[in-house]
Amino acid sequence: MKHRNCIFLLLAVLLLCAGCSNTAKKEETPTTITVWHVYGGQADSPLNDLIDAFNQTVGKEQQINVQVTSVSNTNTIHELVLAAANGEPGAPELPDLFVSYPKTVMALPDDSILVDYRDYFSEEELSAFLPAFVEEGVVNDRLVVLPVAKSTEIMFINKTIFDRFSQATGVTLEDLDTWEGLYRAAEIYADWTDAQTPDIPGDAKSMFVHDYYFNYFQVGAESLGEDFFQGDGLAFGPAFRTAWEPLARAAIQGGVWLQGGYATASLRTGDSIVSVASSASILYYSDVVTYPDNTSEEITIISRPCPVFENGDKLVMQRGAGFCTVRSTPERERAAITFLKWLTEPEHNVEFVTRTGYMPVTQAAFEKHLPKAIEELESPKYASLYQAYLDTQASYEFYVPPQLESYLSLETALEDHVRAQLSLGRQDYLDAGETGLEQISADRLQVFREIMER
Amino acid sequence: MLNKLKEIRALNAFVKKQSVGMQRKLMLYWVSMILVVFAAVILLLSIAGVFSQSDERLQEVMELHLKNTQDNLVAHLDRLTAQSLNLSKELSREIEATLIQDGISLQQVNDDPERLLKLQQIMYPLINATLQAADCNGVYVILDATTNTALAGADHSRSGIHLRYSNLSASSPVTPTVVYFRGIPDIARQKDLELHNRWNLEFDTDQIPGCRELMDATLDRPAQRYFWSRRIDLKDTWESAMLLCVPIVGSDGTVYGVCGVEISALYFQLSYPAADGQFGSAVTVLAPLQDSRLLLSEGLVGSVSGTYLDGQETLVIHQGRYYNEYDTGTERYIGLHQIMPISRGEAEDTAWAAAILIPQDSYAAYTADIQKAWVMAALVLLLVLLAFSFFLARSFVRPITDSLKRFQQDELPEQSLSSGISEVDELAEFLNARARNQRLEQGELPPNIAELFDQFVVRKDLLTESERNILRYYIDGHEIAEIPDLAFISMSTVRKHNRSIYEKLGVASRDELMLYIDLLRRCGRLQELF
Amino acid sequence: MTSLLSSHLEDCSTPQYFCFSVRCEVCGEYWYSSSIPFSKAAQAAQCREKKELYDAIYQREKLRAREAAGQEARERFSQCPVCRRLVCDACFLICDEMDLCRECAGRMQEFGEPVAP
Repeated sequence: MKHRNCIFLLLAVLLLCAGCSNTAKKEETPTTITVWHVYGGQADSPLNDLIDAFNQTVGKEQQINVQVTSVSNTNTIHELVLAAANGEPGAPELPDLFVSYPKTVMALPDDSILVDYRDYFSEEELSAFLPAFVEEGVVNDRLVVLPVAKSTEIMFINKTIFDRFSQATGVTLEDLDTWEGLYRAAEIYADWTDAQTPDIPGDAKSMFVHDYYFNYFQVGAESLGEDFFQGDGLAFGPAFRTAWEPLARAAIQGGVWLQGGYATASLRTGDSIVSVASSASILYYSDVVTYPDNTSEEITIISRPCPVFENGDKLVMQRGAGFCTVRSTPERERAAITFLKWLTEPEHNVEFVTRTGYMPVTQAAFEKHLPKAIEELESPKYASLYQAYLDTQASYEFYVPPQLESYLSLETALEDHVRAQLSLGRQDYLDAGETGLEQISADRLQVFREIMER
Repeated sequence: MLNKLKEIRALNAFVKKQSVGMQRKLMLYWVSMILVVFAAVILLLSIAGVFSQSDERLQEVMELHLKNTQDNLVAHLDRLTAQSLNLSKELSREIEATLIQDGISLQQVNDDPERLLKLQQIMYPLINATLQAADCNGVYVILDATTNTALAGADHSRSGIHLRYSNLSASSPVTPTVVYFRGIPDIARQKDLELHNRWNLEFDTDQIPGCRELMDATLDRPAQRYFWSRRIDLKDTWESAMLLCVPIVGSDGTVYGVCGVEISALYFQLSYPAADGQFGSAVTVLAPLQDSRLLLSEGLVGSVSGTYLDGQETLVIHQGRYYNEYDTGTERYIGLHQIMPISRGEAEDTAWAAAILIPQDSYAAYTADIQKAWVMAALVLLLVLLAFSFFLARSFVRPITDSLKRFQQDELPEQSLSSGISEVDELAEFLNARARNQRLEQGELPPNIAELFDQFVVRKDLLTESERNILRYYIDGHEIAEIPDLAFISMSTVRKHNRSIYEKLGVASRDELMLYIDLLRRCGRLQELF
Repeated sequence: MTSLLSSHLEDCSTPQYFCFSVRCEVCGEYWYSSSIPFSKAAQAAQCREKKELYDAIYQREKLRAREAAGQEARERFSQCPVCRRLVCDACFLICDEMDLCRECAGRMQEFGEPVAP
């Protein structure tokens, strides 16, 4: 009996050893989760750096490996996500995490493929976020878009060139505080630049470029006390005219950049010097302008709050894409949530937003970490941005766009057609020998309305 | 604690002194035999290489995988090279045609933005077409001319076009977005292309080692000399890529510029996913081989999911019997690599290798799994054998012990109780005979006489109390005549009692009675009469 | 037994023969012993001058006859162990436990066979 017991004990010990060493090894393969994000475009990506930091610390501890498989823009992601969700041929596979606006979620055929964050965040954890931000991410009663950074619209100015312009023509920065003033300045700029090459007619350079005319008109109309939306379509009331006319005047005279592409591109090539864009595009504004003759000039970019209408309220768009998590296996979901919780920790949140020009999303981040971080900003460009940002926060009201089914299609249509019509208007103007401004403006508005109302 | 030890030792000694039961001994022998056989079998198996089978298998699998990967890589790169060579020829033709048409040489294109624009407009469709058709994420062309020779860095600034895909993901979308990375922006606007956020007008040739030398060379045909650059960081971006540099050769042997394709680290990663096998994730690597080190930071690494590789490591190679080991210093990988020539006519000889790597931990886990399986199986088998031996031993021993027990319990083992085992029967027989002999030696009565005695003794129970009383007088040695005086009864009564006693005890006369009594007295069995 | 019997022997002798009797204390029947003739009965009757001589011889023979009678009585008389009376064979029962006189046996519900029918 004794011998047998000894043998059994020995065998049991052996087995235990084998088992233990085994399980330890097996668990070392990390859970890899893929991310599509927009923070960086083709420039340096602060989010990529943060992801690396995560992988080396918490990721190593908990065997999570976050892999970025796409860095692009929200439109691209929007397309890809819809293609994937609809199962279109050639569509890519959905990643575990992607950055998106609620509009993309709303366009999904079935939003139950996304995780409801209320399943993973406790009430307490969610209350740490600014309530308005969290609310924006709720679609069909499910919290599917987790805010990580918020942006607003800011006016960016190539100060170096503007100073030259200001010196030559007397236009000041304060003139740009209102839309009306800005468009007047744009007209003057067009003349000024055209006059610099007297022998070449019609080569006026545009001063101003706007990334989102949809926001311009939407916020503009609302700030003038009118509804922008009417049912599923747009209300073309007097406010719309108020917004259209000065813009059209400047555009037809060549003071507004109407070609496609982001504002940053035209500023990069010196083709415009004032832009209104998402505060998040600060990342893409270069400190260098390269001219067609390959000369480069170092410039200073400054930020100012978004212009408003002379008779309008101080209203400005706020937005920000958040992260959506795609449902898969519990391990991957948990890994993704771990990463998101780490990212929205006030410390990391602030580190991230100050490098990308966003606002943080939690109370604690705002109150405790942001002021400190602003002081430590080395880049004057960012310092200027955050000043403009604080100014905006102080005196402006934030506008939250409604969640309409037709929002997306209206937006796309407007963006395309506004530029198209204004370009045609410019062409007409040049063809007519730079006359008939008012008429052309009215005509183009008419055509535009007709197209939009179809 | 010490007390316990003492106790155990005492118990052990005690146990040893006792003779071990048959079953236990048999079990012990069985167990020893089983263990010996086991050990022998294991030795045989390990000699036969059954346990290193997984290593061999791994080698086979990896060799196959490496061959496939290498074939794919070679095919991929060859195709790209062919397309680039083709591009080079077409560009050469177009450029030359334009130059001849305008009656100028390439040198004269310097400082002429309009001409540069014209050339770029001619080159653009070719670049674009190549990008659409090629399995890469970027195509470029660099002309050996610049927009502004007066500028400070003009000697390493060259005009050209670089188109790239901006949104890559695991499966390439059908309509990928092309982005204008380098080139004159007018073309981008014409073609409605987005300007890259880190766009610049011209290329910095210092960023591409070997580019300058290639442009300065004199060549007959583009295929004479081309190379893949080591991985270079794209200026101001988070991306890095390998560029194929193919010279654009004019008919007089001058090199107009360099063109080629770009494979970015991300693109390669998406094109070569990690093969998840039973041994772990196999990562594809294309990297330069130098001093038996694989320089991952200068090459391209496929998808690393399932591992901790980050694509920046330098791996020290240790050759092995079945496979090689690749050591980062902190982690180890196992795999195979093979040299593949991807450049031609290069000045510095970089040896490129295609490799596949598996994290050693996951392979170890797999082998540990197998080992565990073997151990489990062996254990189970051992347990089964032990149980089997236990039951066999018991069934063997039980009849013996049963018959021995019965043997002990029986008082008169006259009949030979067959136990089914010859030895035990023999022993029983022997012991019975010996017992019998022993009894005879001690002066015991032969069996039939003993029977009579027994009967006599038994019949005494038939006597009544008064008769027993009389008998007692006889036993005490008194004669018949003395009884009346002793018992105060008449002689007739005595006679009557006598008659009764004789009849009941089965004796014929007083003499016989006294004989019995006497003999019983001698045998010491007189007590039985009372 | 013998001494008990000699105390119960009653003399029934004549000058010619000796005879004794014993009375059963249960049934009251007398038993007489075998008469033993006096060997000198004729002589005693004839020769008166030797009377004392013949008396002594008579006494001597009577003693012997008494012993003999006692022996004879021994043949047929027992003592009941319970009532301790002298009992003839007809009144003495052989029972299982103990031999008893007929009366004691009857009183104590012991059954048995008499020694003599």
